Amino acid sequence: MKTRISHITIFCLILGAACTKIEPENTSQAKPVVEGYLAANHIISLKVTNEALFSTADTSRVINGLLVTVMDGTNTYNLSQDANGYYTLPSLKVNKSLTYQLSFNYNSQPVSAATVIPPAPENYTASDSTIVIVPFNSSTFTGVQPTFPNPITLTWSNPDESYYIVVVKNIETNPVPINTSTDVERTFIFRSNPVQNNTYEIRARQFQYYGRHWVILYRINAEYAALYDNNGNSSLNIKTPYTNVTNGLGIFTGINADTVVVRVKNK
Amino acid sequence: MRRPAALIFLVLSLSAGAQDLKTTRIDGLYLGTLDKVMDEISSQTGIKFSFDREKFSKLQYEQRMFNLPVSDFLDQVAKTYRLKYYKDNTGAYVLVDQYVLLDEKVVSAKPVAKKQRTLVKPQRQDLSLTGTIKDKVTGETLPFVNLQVLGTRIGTSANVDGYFSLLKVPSDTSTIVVSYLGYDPTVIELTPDTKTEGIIIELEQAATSLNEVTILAQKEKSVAAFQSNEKISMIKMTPAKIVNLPNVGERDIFRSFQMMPGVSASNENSAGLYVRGGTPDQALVLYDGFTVYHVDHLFGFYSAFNYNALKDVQLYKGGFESKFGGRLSSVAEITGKDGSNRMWNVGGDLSMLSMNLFGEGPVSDKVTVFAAARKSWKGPLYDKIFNTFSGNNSTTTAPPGQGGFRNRFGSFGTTVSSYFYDLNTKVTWRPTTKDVVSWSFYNGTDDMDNSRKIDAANFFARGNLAFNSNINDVTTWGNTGSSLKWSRQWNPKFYSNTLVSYSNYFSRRDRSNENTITRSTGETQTVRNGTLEDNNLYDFSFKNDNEWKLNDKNSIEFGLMMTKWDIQYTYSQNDTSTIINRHTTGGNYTGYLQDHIRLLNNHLLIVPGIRYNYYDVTKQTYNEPRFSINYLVTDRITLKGAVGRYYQFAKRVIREDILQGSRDFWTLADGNLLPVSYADHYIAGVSYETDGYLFDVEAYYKNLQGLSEYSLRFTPSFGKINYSESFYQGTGETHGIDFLIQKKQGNYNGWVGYTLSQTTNTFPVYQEKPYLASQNVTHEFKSINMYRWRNWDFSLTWYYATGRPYTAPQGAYTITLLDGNTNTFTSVSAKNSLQLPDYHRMDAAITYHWTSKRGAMNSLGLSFFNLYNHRNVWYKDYQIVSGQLVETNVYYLGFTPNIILSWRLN
Repeated sequence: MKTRISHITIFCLILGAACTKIEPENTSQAKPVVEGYLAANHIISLKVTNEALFSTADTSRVINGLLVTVMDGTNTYNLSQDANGYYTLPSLKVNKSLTYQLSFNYNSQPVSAATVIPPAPENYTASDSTIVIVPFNSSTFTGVQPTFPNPITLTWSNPDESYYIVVVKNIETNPVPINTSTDVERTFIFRSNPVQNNTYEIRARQFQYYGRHWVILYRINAEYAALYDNNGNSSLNIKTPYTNVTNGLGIFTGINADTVVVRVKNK
Repeated sequence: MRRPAALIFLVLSLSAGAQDLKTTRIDGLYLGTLDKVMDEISSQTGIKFSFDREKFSKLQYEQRMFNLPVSDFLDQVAKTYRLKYYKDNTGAYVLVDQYVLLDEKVVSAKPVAKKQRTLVKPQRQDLSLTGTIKDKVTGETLPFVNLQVLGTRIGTSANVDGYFSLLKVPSDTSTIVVSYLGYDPTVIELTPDTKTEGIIIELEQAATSLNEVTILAQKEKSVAAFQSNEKISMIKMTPAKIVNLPNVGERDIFRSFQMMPGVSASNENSAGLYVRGGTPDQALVLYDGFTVYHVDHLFGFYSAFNYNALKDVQLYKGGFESKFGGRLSSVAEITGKDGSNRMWNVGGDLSMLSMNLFGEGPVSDKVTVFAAARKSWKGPLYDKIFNTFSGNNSTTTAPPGQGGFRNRFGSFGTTVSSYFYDLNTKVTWRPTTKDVVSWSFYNGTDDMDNSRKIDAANFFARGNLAFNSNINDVTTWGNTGSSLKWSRQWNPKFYSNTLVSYSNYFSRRDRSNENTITRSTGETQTVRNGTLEDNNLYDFSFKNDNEWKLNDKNSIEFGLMMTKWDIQYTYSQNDTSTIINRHTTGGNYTGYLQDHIRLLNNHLLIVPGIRYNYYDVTKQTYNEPRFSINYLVTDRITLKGAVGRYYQFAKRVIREDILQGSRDFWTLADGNLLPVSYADHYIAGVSYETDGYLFDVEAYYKNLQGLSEYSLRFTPSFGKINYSESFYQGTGETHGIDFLIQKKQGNYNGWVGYTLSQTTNTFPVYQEKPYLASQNVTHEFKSINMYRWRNWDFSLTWYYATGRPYTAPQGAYTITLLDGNTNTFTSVSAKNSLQLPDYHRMDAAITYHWTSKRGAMNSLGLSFFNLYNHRNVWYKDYQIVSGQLVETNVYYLGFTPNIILSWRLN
């Protein structure tokens, strides 16, 4: 009987020993956050900050003294930190269609990311270069909205359904507001969500100031588009914000752009 | 082998003299245990009684007699306790249990004493015995009953229709032991006069019957609520026995399975079966032959199956035979009741949650019907469960000065209306003694309306805006299934059944918001958006199963199956934008062949099998080789093993939804975005069984391929997006070991179970390394204790389970976007790298049974769920308020008492 029980025990132990253990990840260490936009024909400039953990009183701040390198496929460059904390390489302009690889060590962990610089947008045009909007005051509305002119339609070529984003920026030094009400929050800049279309309409009411506007069409990568997604809020289905940085957070992405100018005029 | 003696405890009363039962009358109050009452009547009247003193001493009797003839008294006692009496040759009246009465075709209605038996000389050797096993009271056939020739390893089990065919019975004086869970085991002593074909064996429920004979030492009176060592990884449970187990409002067979090792009990929000690291969608649930795709009632707190409508339930935790297929993990085979063919009966249960009624009876000699209906009613218990699972049961850990997040939403005006119901119907027609035709129908629906109005002027006050919102939140889901089955015992060796079935699962959710923003200027703006989901699954199946008992060593089973699916799933965020619109149709054509091979004088049973599938969506064939082995090392020790491959074509995919909760939907594998999943099972175990105890250990390893998830996490929710690309593929692995120690008999019985396991998933989209699956439970311990005292049953259960893994926000960071704005992101811990607090819970129940004047067994039960009110965390809810994390624990149900009254007419 004893032998039988010991056989059974050995059998169970063998079966139990087959278990492998999943090592829990160290979640108490803050990760580095990369913010790097590599624009074609511009110099490389990126920022590395730390993540502010909920469990600590720490806040987000720039991480200094890292040895940051960028590789473009043939050469490796060391970046130096400027006065604002940005890691830059003033001697080199970013080349379209190349793949750039970022790497540095933080807390003895290798942090890396890679991105490709997209080509510039092609055949980018606006349907009008000027738009006329009558000034109004929303505080004195009597239920009747002012009449706005037709939107400006932007078009470009997008045969491969790449991601684009439109950013509209007023470039006047002292711009005059269209809505003269005093209780309105205004911005000099507004943007579209990322799109995979070849067209975008800027509605007249989106403009808040008169004057010249840069209408920038950014050609972006999917990794940047993913940043615009939402966050989660319960342990049943938490949503991880997108990052293309291994062992880190944030974004290291290539962009390319083209710009048209649109003027908003008062009648 | 030593033949265990039949133990007969007959105690003769000491009183002397005999009188006529009809003329002798008794008068007065008779109170006490039945043995004392019998003694008193005997001493008053001089009538001699013979009875089982030990049993009678456990029965309480109380009756005021008014000049009652002793015959009436005996009739009443006999009816109440299901006895019969006769006058023996000494003139004493012997009261014995009615326990077995064979059909007129079998002469031996009661056991013959051993001495007499030895005088009977066998006249035939090597014979076959065929027949049907029935419930003594209702006359219903009993499925999967075991029969064994005493003192040998020769045995068989009845099929789903109660037919059995026992080959190679050594002689016509052999003794057959018939045992079935929840029923008293019975011995059939053959004589040369016994007919061998078409025997009807009747078994009686083990509830409170008094046994004249306690049969075999090792198969003593069955008190166990389940049986687990018959086949590898298989658990049998009797719906009648779950009456005594603790419950919260409904006696539920699926909840009872969760008391077994290997079936997780820490998911209060799902009645589905989490078997050995598998998820409920990986469990095949067959009800009278049709597949049920979703088994939850009331947010999963109860299963869709009314226990009053069930006759037999078997759960295969893995390594199942070739006749089952289409799922990765487990099989629950449920057989519905046919209805009594002896008499009409009605009954029902009333609890604080629902009302449950059934009726059954014979329409003619050959036709029986059974119908049961259950509907929830909105009592306090219903509301409590509803509130728990609709998210109104939480506490918030807020940073100082922040306040809980629920307060931030201003006032809730919620009017909830919801209910569930189910209906089971079965008509059985036995045109001949060889044929059974049955039609079974099931319909169950849940309707939850949680629509509410939020008036949140304060929370959203920004600038000069006021905000209010009407939320339509209506969820309905349900199943409708039906099967028509014809089975025939062609001859003692060949049995077949053919079935056509239909199953529909639907789930609809309409959650649309109507938001009205009022500006300080009085201007109002109404924005309407929402989520509309609709999943509709149709399954049309044809099945043909055959069993051919080639000889005493080979029993070959083979069959064909054809299933056609039509599954529609749409998910839209408002009237105009449809995110997923997936309509899939497909068919699977299956053939299987397996052989039960008995070798080494029936000590070794091997079951090789092959299941062949042609899936017309991928236009490919899928072969599932399977093999299981049972080896009786000694009478007490059994070694078991199984390996096999298991494919799944119709699969449930989880769609992540952050704000409104994840939902799941059924769809068909397409071999591309959604691969056909498969699992390989490897199981080995050993069981050691003594007279009173069972020790069982099984270790398992499962390797799963082609798992799918749907997530928009990595797809930007804008632009021109191909949402079908948001299906992600992964793999899984689970291994573990189940331990069980069961005390099978005695007034105190029960079991303890322990499972050590690990379940991991690898979905490269989340991370390259494997991570613990959401359903992973490392340690799970269960202790089930039952005690019977007179007409009272007490039960106490305790569960302990390691907390499940989860993912949580970890920190925050800010990124400046291209337009110059900054966006704050919440970083998240590694997938499932955190662990919820351990789960534990104690439940208790007290049940009082009594027999009505008509002989029906009734009961009144009082149960206490979560006796010490432990707050088990279901999940955590997060809000980021001013850069601080507000963590809210959402809890499972706290202490909840309930009363259930069960009543039967007959």
